[in-house]
Amino acid sequence: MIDQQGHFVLKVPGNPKYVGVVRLAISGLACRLDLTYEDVEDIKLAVAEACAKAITHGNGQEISIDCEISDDCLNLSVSDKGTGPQDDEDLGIFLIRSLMDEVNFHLLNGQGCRLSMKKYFGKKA
Amino acid sequence: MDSKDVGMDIKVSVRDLTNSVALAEVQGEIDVYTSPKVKEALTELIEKGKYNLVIGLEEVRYIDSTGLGVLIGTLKKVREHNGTIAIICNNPQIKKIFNITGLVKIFGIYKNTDEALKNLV
Repeated sequence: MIDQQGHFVLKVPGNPKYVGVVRLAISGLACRLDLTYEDVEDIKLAVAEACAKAITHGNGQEISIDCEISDDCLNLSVSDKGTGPQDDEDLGIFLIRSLMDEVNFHLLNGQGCRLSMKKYFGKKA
Repeated sequence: MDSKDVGMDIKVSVRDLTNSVALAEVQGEIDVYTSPKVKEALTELIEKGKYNLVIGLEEVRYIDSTGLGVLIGTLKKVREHNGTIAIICNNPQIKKIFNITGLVKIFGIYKNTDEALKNLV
């Protein structure tokens, strides 16, 4: 069990092949936190949806997945290098909003977009 | 049975259940990478004139929105020929995704092939 704060970043090529790799890495992390099995499954799907969206929006450029473990939540941010907003409400975004506790979009000053999402420990979404 | 290894972590096996109903059993993870392969296998069935489909997701560990999109697209195509789709699914997480997206209302979700077949025709 990971019971202290931590932070790391994954960078993967903007290719759908790598979404499964990210999913596996994030579920490996989430399993070691104070989260239920259902929470872990929710996080896996939400991060994979965010990656798929980032790959499309970033036109195949590298994407990064920032993982921050705080006292009360797992905070995941998926960033791409695409232009313009990417917060159009499709099925993927609907799922992310349904499965995570908090979801936000940020435009990165013309250098891409970031989708941030949080899952709080010790409670269900 | 026509079994086709269609991708890294996906397999679609196809066989006829009756004269008018075909079964497509999917094994693996349906995501943004593998869903085009599932789409290809289901499209092939429709092109062969199979418009009533049972799609088995019993061996599917994971499905994302692109996978759901493939199922929705396939349903639209078979409906053009007065066909329909029944889904076999017992995985609670996948059933949850069908529930929260409301797709449970447009697809029949069943426990096994017999139940799906009974409700399809």
